[in-house]
Amino acid sequence: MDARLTSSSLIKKGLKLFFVILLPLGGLWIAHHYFNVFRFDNSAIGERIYNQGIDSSGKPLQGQTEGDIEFKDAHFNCAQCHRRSGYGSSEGGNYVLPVTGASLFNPRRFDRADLFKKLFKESQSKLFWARMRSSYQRPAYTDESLALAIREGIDPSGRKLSSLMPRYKINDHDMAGLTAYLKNLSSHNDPGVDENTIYFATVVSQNANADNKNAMLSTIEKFVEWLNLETKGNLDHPNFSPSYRSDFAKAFRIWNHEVWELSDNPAEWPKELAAHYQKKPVFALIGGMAEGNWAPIHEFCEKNSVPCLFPLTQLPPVEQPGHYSIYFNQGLLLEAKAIAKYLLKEKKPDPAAPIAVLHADDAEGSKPARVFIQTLSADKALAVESIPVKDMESFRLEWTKYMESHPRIGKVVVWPGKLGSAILSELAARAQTIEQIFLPSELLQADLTSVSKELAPKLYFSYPYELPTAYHPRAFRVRAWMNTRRLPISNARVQFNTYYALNLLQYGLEHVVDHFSRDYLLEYIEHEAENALNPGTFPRLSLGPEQRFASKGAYLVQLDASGMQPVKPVSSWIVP
Amino acid sequence: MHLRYQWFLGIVFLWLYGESALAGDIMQGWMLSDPKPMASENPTRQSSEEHAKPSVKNYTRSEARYDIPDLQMVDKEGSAVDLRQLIDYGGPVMVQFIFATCSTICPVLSASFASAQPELDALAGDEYRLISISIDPEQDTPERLFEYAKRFKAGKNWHFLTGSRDDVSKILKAFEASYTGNNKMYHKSLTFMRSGPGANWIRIEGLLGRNDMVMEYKSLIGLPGPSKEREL
Repeated sequence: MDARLTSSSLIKKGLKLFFVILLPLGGLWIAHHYFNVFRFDNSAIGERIYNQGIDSSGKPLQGQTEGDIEFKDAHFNCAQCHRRSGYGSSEGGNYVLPVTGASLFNPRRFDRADLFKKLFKESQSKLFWARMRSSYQRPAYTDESLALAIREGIDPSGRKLSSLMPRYKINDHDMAGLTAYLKNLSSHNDPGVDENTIYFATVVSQNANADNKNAMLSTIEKFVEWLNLETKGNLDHPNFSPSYRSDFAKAFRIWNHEVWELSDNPAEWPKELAAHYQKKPVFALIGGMAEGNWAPIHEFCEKNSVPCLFPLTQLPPVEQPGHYSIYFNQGLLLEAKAIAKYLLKEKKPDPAAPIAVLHADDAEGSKPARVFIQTLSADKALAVESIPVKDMESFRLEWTKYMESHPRIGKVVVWPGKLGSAILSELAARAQTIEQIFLPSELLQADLTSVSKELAPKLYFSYPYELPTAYHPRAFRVRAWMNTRRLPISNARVQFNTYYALNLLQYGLEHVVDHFSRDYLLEYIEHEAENALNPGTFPRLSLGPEQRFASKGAYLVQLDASGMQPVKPVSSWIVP
Repeated sequence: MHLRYQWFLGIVFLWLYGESALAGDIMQGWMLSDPKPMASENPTRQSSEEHAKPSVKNYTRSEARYDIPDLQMVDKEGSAVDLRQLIDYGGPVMVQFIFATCSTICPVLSASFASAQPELDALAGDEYRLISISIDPEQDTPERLFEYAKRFKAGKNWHFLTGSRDDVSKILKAFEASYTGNNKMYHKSLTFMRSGPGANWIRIEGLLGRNDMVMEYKSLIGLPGPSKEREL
């Protein structure tokens, strides 16, 4: 009896427990299955597959391309060709179709404005033209037909996709994640743009050189004023163009440009930037100038996915990963590498006369010094002595000490940082026993008229710019534009570079039409940076997918004794 | 009481059994938000396969003679390489123009070399050379080309070259491969093949698969290709 009672109470307890577990589970399942709630968001898996080519098990994507080329390679991810924005790309006559949510899950409709560049400015394949002219386009994708396209290369109209499009081996779980990601890909405009206006800002720090700052900001101001006038004129006259330009009217926005001024304290910059951005989010940052390390601004841009286009900085964070910041070059670090490569090529190691590296202890002094020494270490025979200095007083002291201990000094490389051009007079006073002095290009901006005839032939400058003698047809056009707008050209390099950045931004925006995706804009900029927009400040400006430094080399120059030109090259274009 | 529990338990058990048999459907629930009857898929696939007949070749080929400029290039190890010597070594050679950050075409161009490698090794041993020349030489330093080569598991017969921008322009011009606006983003997918010094170059415009590559190579060195074998 007792045993029966015990077993029955055990069964009761077991059943209670069973129901306690089962009922919530059942409820969850019913809610999920019939009422569409508690749906798992697996688009994160899709995002990883799309951008990195890694599936949910952490393995690289597998599949076939060109019919029979097998791959197991994360580089064959979707973003590689369709790009991060999903708006596709075009390369060498291969048009890669857009895969944004709106384009995939709606019947295909080609828009002349969207395709303008592909239609009229690039050569395309026969397949492209056949597709454009076909009266029967594909219907909207469903989840199943999308899976069929990704796995077998058949689109919902029954057509076979180009063999360039890989046929992927993706399991159902990953396919669902990818589909979920694609449904929302570029589904809305990025912040910083509304119906009529697009917002931009330029970051300047209080301690940046005032003349350079003014040169940059006045150029931006004139450009925005000029562009807005044209946009307003066009918008006030619907169908203003008998040809194609009216097609783009939907994309026209008035540019609203602000200056974000930062304090002298870089530690406060993240907070200050966040406050500016919170007050009014911008679509992109254009140009910019700050004394010292650009890293805090770079980090802000990466964190908020804000394109930061061509700031004029000597210290871009070269080693930090970045997608949203694009620079003219690597600044002082490029100059450091170029001087080191020049010395490595000279190959006249003299252990008795090591290379002295004098550098200020701030970022603008110590960073290039470190990179210089690191690059030079490729040749173990070259001896280097690094001498950090705090201020002019310590510079004099250290330099005198060094000279006393080294009766003969071959080469001196100086990274003056905050000490600036004042260092020149100190070097001049003690240059008798030195063979060569290597300096960064910024010292060429200093007043060099006082440099003695004895010292001048010993000075070598890194020069990451186009030589003054070079001919660039576009330079004349830019100068003419500035003259017509009565914009005084006080610092040609700063102003021409600013103009280049603005022009590329305008060009990019025009071609993204009304798809205001920051990624898409960056993709256009990457694609078009190399076109004939270079105003002659650099020998060549070129980008490519995920390239973030447009000019990659430097000359070594000396002062031109003949006085015909400010400088003459003593090396070829060095690409370190 | 006890009986009622048993009865209830039986129903729950049956219900669970039914659902577990459709466990795939539970999974489908969150994988495919818009499930369609499976039956509708097959006719679509069939008709699409009819549409999607295996296409004829995706590329065009022509013959030409090119005058290779006498230039010094740099390979992926950073060593100087004489371009003419590398090409005119005496045996069959294939040349492609690529750049390491290229998004669409170059990975497939290089993948066609990579996938054909084992077969070329079996056919020719050391008697062939693959040459990939960077058209973005300032970006593609030897170190970056080394990484690129590693990605495609390039063997010892596959050479990667970079150099000065002017020299690369000269090579592009020599192969009639220059592109519009001097913008590398407009470059074409080209593969050049030659059986040996003095022979004509086969110029292939378009992208090749593994079999295409092997077949073209076989016809280059005078071996019967797969199509001919079938005919026999």
